[in-house]
Amino acid sequence: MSDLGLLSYHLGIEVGQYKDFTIVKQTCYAKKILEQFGMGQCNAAKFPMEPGARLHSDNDGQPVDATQYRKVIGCLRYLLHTRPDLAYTVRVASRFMEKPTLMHMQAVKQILRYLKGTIDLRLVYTQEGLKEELVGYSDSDVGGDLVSRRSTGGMAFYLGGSLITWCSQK
Amino acid sequence: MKHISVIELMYYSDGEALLVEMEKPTSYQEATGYVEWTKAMDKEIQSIEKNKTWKLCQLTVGHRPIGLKWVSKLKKYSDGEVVKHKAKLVAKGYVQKKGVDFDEVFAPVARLDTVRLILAMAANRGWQVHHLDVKLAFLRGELEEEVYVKQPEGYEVKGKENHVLRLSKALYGLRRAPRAWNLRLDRCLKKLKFKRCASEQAVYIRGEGKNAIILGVYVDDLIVIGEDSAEIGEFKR
Repeated sequence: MSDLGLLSYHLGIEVGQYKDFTIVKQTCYAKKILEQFGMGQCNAAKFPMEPGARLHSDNDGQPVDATQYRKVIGCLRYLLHTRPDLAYTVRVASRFMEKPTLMHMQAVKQILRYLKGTIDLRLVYTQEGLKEELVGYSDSDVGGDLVSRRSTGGMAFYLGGSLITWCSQK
Repeated sequence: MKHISVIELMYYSDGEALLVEMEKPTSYQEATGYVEWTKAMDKEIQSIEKNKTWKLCQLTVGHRPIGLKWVSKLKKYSDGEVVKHKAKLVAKGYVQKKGVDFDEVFAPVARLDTVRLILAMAANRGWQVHHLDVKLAFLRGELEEEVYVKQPEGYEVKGKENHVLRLSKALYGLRRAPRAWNLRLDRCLKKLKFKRCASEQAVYIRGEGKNAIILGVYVDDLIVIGEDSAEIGEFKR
């Protein structure tokens, strides 16, 4: 048994402990992803996905390297552990892993460009909400999929002002 | 097993570049001749024997010994300078069959949501989050079932070459190694009066109010939170 002192790094997640708050981030991992997929020097984008964009299976589109596509998605999904803002877009993009086309790859690149501009985003756990209470929120787009009429829902749970778990699911 | 080139040395002679590739040995035979590697292997065998992992014995009928294999690793600084030659003895656990050689392999680990929950609780209460790490965790797991392994290549006991080794502790590569370790940790924590959380098996709790300690387990990483740092210090042993 060895004592590593205060927690600072756990499974690729960086933790910073300060007097009144704790931060949780994956900036190093995000940098690694950008480097790995050749997006280290790209221009930042403001949104993770074009507003109002409707991705579909795009059967006639030009296919891209599916392995590469799945790799990016896999990496991005691990990043979701500290990035609730990406939960929806990554989840949408991962629906097309079976047969990705240029359109889907462009959507993923948009996510990476957005990541470039927001690489320092982190979760902050503060001491302000002293009452330790679990609060949950959820929403759904009610049949948002144009073909299958299935809904995409999302939820987020806070413990006394600190976001602890979230998900976006079709 | 594929060979991975580790060091690529460049020798320049008469302006001509010559690329020499050295590979990490994947067996005892390949390692002989390299002092560093044989030393690393000697060290590994010594530590296993010190740990009382196995005992030499005759094979009982109906059991099949599992082969062992060397996995070697070069630890390097970021500038490429070699720090350490590391040799690890692993069992070829893939020959073990479910239902025959073992039954349960499941070992709980803390979900990342749980880790975040623990962090949020600590932040909210103004507690510190400590991090502990268990060295050689898998080698500490105790095996309940009978497992026999062949003698490691190059370290056969003279005159008893056809004997096998009966394991009492786990080795890397065994299918049940993670679970064996988890059971041992579980027993150990229960002895220390920790209670396992019913809905998240990787969380342990002890005490209430000021003396409370909450523990998250991720294989050999322990995340500890508590108000009283003295209590934590005591737990750390």
